[in-house]
Amino acid sequence: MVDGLHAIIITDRDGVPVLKVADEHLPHAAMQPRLLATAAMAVEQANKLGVSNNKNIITVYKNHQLISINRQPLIVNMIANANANTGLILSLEADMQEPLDDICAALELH
Amino acid sequence: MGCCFSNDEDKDDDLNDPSRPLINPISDGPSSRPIGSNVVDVAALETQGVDQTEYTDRATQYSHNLSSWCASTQKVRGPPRLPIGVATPHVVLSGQPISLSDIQLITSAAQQAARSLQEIKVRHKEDLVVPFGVP
Repeated sequence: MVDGLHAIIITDRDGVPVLKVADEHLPHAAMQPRLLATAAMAVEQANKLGVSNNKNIITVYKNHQLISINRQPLIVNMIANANANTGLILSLEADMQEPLDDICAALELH
Repeated sequence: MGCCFSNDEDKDDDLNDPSRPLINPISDGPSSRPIGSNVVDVAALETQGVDQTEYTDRATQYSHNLSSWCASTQKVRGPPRLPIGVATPHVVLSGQPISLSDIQLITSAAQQAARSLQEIKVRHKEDLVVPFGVP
């Protein structure tokens, strides 16, 4: 686990949550469909910029940061403190390969 | 690309050129690429967003599918579970504690049993091997 990481929310490509885990410090707005849908849309649009598929989008706000990892057909959103170690959070993706494959198999998303 | 003294060896640096446009309007234009899904559309969220009913239905369906999959998978998640000692532990734990005399009875009985086991000896009565048919 990474200090300051408050939530991991796995969504489909439309931002509909598939699996989520969060602690009590997660800001309420972070669980709103609007934010997750916008993050998913940003990943999708960034795929079209002509520089190959987008891998990650890191958005830093005053108090929090949102890291969206493109694992089509899933998107892994991680919400953390603004001063949390972004590199460590990104490195969590390596540990999530198998679970993400299992989720895809369970949902028959391909 | 597009500057003096450039040659083919500069191609690898093209992607790092900060002045390079993300999309070349000529080579990446609609004439050479499929349009529609490849067009960056910032306003798409307003029109292509999932409505509330579909959002809820899809989230419920995902949850149901994941639950079904977790129940059927053979993969071991986390440490192995402890064996189930009793079916209703809350009944056992909320019951009256065993009296001190019962504990002493059990302890003394166990000690006597252990002592008896230690004192078991083989008493020699006759030969185990009997000569048969030997003159």
